[in-house]
Amino acid sequence: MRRSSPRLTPAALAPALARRSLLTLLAGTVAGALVPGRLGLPARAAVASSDRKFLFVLARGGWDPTWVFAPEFDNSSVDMPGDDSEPATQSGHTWVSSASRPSVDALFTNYGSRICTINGLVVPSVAHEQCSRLLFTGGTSPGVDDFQTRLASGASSHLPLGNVIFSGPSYTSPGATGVVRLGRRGQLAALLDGSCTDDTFPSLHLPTPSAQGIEDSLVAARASRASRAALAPASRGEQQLISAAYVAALADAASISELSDLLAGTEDDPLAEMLAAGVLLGRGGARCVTLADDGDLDATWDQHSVIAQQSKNYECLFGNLLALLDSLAATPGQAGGADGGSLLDEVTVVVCSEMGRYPQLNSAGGKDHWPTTSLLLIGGGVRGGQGIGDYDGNMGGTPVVLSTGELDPDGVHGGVLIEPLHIGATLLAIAGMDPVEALGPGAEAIGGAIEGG
Amino acid sequence: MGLVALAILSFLGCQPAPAPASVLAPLDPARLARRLSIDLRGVLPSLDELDMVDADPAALDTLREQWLADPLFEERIVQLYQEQWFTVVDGFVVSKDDYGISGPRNYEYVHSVGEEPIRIIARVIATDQAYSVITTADWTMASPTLAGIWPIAYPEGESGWQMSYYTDGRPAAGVLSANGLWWRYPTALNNNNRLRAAAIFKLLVCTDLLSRPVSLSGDVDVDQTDPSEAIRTDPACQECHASIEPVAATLFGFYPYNDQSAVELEYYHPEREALGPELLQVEPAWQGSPVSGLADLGLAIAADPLFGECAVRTIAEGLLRRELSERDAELLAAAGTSFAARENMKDAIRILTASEAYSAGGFTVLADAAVVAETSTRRMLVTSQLRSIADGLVGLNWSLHEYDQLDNDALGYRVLGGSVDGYDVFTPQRRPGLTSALTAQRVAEVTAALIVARDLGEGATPQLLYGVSAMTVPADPAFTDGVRAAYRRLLAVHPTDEDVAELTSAWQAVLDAGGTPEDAWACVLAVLLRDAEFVTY
Repeated sequence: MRRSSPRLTPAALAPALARRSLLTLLAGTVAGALVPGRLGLPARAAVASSDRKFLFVLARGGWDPTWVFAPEFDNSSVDMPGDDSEPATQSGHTWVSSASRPSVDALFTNYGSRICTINGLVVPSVAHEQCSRLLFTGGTSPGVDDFQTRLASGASSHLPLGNVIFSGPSYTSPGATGVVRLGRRGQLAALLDGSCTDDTFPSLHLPTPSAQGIEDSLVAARASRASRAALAPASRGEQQLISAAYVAALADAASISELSDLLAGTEDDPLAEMLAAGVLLGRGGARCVTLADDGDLDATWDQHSVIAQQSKNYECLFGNLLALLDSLAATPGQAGGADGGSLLDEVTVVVCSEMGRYPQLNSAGGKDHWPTTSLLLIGGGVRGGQGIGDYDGNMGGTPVVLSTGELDPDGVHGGVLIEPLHIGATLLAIAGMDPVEALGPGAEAIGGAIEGG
Repeated sequence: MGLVALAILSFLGCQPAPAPASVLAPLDPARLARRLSIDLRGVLPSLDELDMVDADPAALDTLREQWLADPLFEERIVQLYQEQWFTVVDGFVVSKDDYGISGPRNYEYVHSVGEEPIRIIARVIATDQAYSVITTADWTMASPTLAGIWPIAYPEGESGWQMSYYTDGRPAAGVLSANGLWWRYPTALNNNNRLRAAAIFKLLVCTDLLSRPVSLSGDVDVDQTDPSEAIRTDPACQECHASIEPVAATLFGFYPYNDQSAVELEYYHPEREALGPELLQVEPAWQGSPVSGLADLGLAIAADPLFGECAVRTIAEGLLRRELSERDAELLAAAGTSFAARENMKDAIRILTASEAYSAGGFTVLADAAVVAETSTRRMLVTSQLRSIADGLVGLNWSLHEYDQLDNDALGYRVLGGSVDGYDVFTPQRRPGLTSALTAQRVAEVTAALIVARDLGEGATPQLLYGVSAMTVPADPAFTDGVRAAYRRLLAVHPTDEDVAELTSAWQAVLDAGGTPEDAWACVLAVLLRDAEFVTY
């Protein structure tokens, strides 16, 4: 047993950061603040691009845009929801409204001015794994860093938890080091405090705090030496690179104990997970956080039958997003706090799904995969109050002039279909990075989606 | 070059062309032995084995043959294929509860299902069978758990993974007849096995059809276009579907009418084989050549030159721990030639592990940036390797609720330690990160504590801390000898005097801080087990 280490009993396994404790954390964070989602948004503050943070929410499985983003009621080629859905317009957005999805209405009503909807985004595949890779990297090649990894590497200062994955996929190049997964049950916290082995080896003599300190110091010193040394007889090699990465990892691990309350998992509670992600970004622990939403009660978004499940999924997801935006808007920003800015000015929330769904129902009452979808950009650095892009009559994408965001259906003004690479370029531009340098030729940002762009 | 040839060249006034200068510097023999042992057995070499290669580097050839014959080799092949076939995931559509399996046996259940196809491959390779058997075998590999839930005849009186036989009359097609493969790569009902066909192309001939861009919009009129018709007639669709559809048509014996039903998914349904051609309106074929069914498909794949090339490529990527590049063409060709003679994967492994690329430990000054970017001179241990090494050292079994904590992600640390989960993470980590460093730390500390408990207990015979007891102090020669032996065993390097001195200082510091000798030795071992030299190979 590790002596005098706080024991994360676990049921270590089981869960740690419950919604109640998270809300307590949040209460501390936003004490005294208004809940501006309902009462009016606070003034926006100027935030340096390099200080921006990013929260990615992936609706995993492929959402159907016709339940929210694509009010194609007049298009006989598209099977729209069979409920009370109708088009609604406010704050520069037109969406599909229904009494069964009040959170969708509330999100656009309360935060429409901070939201830019991208419609007709073409993700050129119909297989989940490939679409996810495309969505996050802009291509299908393995060994390529995703946008999150690139954004984290471009932060103005080193953050020990640069790119945190609460849940969902991550794609990296062989040399990448900055991805930090929490584990589905918050395993990272148990690794940090050493409690991970307590239940298996209850009587084992593990290091005392003083012995641990001696061990840690010598490990770091030796790794540091190895990172500088040449490995005879080779003049140079990967050993030094690996050792250098190891030194950095050891230092990062030693520096995040104050964040451990946020790393202990959220009992598979999507709302708690989303709120914890916001708090983590707010406390400066990470530049990017990614989490996957698997639908209401984990029912999945991949509805090849019973498409009506989409309604419940959207209501659940948008309800959670609403709570997230409320908390971000009520939390003073790190960079702009002095002049009234909130965390929502500093965090760009990206809400996406790896694919869309075929415009028409299949024989099982579901919808199959389709490579055109929608995406939300919300908050920091985003020119809100607008939708960019559109669906054509067949639920394909419509070309857009990227610099302005204007539609160019006939392509006579240089319009192109919006693809994931353009989304990545836009996010990098919001982060103050050079998209072409990072992502290569063709990585043109959607200027019209960027605040001041 | 022979003396006669040299004499002739000299007579002609020519100098022999120098051997091309290498851009790669080799590992020293002991470190190379460590790398090979980890790759082939998943454990560290013994001190005797290290001494053998120190005395004669050519002894590595002898050791290679011994290690290829070691029972642990088969387990290593399972680990290598797990990283590339992604069948060992944490859950399947059908859960253990659907089978009424009680208790916390989910780990055993999901691993049994996921490991089935890759254990067929591992058995074929380990037992020197022709590699084509993996798509033609009339047997499978089964654990008692699989035999208890699926229609499998398992040898009586045996335990563990054994060659077994399905009893539902399914065709003899090796991995193509393994439930485990199709549970990992399922088909949605209206997908009609297309995703499964794409998996066959990717896993068996290394052709990733799904990575090709799809464009369904643009000219497509959803009112006028029947998607299944477009798949058959649209030239853009046909670029992939011309290959996919005829393969998908062979898989309908595995087509479930209910894709959530255990019974539907565990049995082969021969009466549904005819559904494929009917639903897909295409005759079964492999790359344009007609096949008569699943067994015939297995034969056709095995006869495809791409099959052997893909097999060698897969194992090469696993051993070199990187993507291959054009620079590897010569090596792949050599390994492929060796493999093809007997369809024996060990022959390819012999060529690969004796190569300059495999043995590289660093770069010479001649290496340019491209070489540096495309070559791996040092690998990082990932979770499965940490697990097997610690098991080999001290029998580490870090399990909780019967979950191996280094081999699952539901409760454990597989991905956090740098491995893949086949669901969200598909590339093993190549560089240490925060979570892999922490995982290595916790494994190191537990392993160190277990070694100390074993080696320094009363009446114990030390197996790593040779000649050391709890009473040994730095002034005793046995102390330094013990440190040196442990260092050598764990890192395959002789320690310098400075190394020994700083470890001795750490030992003393723990004691001075109120720790016991056991604490102090555990600290020394944990430092070594967390060393940058240890967590790499």
